[in-house]
Amino acid sequence: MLTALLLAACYGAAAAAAEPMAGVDVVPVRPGIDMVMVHGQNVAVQFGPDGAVVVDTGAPGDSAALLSAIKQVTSEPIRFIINTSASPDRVGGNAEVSVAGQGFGEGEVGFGGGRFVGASNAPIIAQANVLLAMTTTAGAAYSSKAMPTLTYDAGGKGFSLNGDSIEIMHIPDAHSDGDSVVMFRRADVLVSGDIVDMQHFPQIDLAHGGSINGEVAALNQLVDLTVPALPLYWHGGGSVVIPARGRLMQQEEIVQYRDMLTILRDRVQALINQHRSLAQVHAADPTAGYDGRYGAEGGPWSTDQFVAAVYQSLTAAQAHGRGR
Amino acid sequence: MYAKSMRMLVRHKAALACVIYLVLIICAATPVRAQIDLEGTYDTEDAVDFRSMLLGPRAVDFLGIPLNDQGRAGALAYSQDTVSVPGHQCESWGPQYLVEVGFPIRILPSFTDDGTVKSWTVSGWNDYQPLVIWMDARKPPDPNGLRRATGFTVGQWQGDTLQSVTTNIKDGVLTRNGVPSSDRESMLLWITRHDELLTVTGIVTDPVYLAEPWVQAREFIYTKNPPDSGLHYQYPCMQVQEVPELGRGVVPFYLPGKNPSKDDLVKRFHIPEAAVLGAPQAMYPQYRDKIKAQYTPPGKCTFDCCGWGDFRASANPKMECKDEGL
Repeated sequence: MLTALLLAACYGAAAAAAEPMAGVDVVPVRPGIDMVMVHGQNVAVQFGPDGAVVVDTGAPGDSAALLSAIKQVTSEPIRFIINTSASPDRVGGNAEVSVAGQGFGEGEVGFGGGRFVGASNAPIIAQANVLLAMTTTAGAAYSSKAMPTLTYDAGGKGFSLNGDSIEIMHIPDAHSDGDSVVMFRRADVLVSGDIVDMQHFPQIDLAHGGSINGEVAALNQLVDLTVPALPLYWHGGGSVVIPARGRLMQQEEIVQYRDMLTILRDRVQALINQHRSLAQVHAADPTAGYDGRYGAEGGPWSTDQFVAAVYQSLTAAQAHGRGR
Repeated sequence: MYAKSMRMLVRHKAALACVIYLVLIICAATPVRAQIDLEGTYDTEDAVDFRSMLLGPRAVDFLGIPLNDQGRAGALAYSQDTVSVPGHQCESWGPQYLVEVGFPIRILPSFTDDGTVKSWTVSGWNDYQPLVIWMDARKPPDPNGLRRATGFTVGQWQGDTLQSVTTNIKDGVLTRNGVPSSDRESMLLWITRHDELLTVTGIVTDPVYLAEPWVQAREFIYTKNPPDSGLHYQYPCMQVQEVPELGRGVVPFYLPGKNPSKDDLVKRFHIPEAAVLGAPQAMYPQYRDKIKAQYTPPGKCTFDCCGWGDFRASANPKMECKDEGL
């Protein structure tokens, strides 16, 4: 037993040594796509000869670390930024990353030295409600350089860079009303934004149109959008999902996350059907069995906040007679 | 002359002490490289727990599993229909499946250029992603990268036992009746070969769902006639719509307090509910002494009396077999 424990301790030390320094970890996802984790927030970076596409810009104050990590990934300029929502953890570094970038500006005359010649900051693409939320949310003081410059309304937006088709899809009423998921079609990599948080229960921003039923619907949509690593499951193929926080995922882990959220929603709904108040729902511990894995007693998104959001979302849907 | 000899002796003694010291350090730091060949196919020894080995444990049979409250709540929410949901049909079981079930295993080595063993790959049944035990002291992969269901394993010999540690495991289930396991699970595995007998011990730790480490052991027998089915490294799996009711977005589960199997073992075998539900203290032998005075054995066997399948042949011919049609 002692030797086994020593072995485990040695392994633990080795694992600790592999931990990223200063809260930054660059994780290769597929050729031409890395996941950059900065203090727990995930940023996707697609890179190649055409430049870099950065999906989300991390939390406010982390821009220097993010830009430093991106420079390690590619020396090419940042051409586009995509925001998956207006959450501060997704748009916090918009201004700095955009200014550091070099978009395909209007003054561009073609190729110079074998490269595009940029004339402006990197444009920021987002669903229109992201711009709305960033300009109207009380207390949020974003500079003009942080604001999305290429917005879309319904449906989505697509473009091609570095030999890959990049599809941005609007997912309504999930984490918020401005959520997008980003699919790199050729690489088969999907960036989920706040719809999936591998470390926590998902944040549901009721003030900006988020809902529990929208979250569950979004997760079912992600299951549809992704492909399992089958039939040769031991090869590790299939779609890869970059969540808002936490490690990389495959379709089966999206299915597990969907299961968890569906079960918790139905538990709370069952209590609402028994006319329980929010306090009584809290007392019934509807997240039992999942707290240890995804819950938090405090911090920016506690289990209590999550349960309250689910409860309020379901009771609001009930009051309006719709499945929101 | 004498003084010179003494100085040389002292110098030699110091050098000798240094050499001995270095040898001791090297011995202590280097694992014993046992020359045990594990390669081969091993059949399982029939055991008293053959039913759970082969069919899987009954629903809500968490006997001997040291669950904490979170693990118990998660396990009671589990519906056996889950395995028929397309997204779950082809999931590989976790590393502990190797010790938990009674399937044969195959162990194959790979070698470095100088002929030393680079890895031992332990493959099980079709639904078990092979467990690769790396012997080359390689660094673990980034825990934030993609993970395998059976994780990442490094091992080394300690005497005649191969000891390994598995981490970087995916979330999943620990047992076939839905005890959850988290991505913080780790497993110590000991493999010891005594001629044709292979003893495999697994110690699972999961701070999320287990109150204490869960220890299991399984005996295997070397066979020269491996079964011609299963034991494949590559067994393709495709998801299909097995049950029409389990369509898109359907998640089978039980609400708290609604699991219909919760009392099955209590009613059939009079086992205390706390033990059935995986109370940590129930896995120790002392627990039997504790409940002995209150325990009333069932009057007669009405369930799983004669074993299952081929095992029936060894049953008492006078015994009436009631095994729910299996």
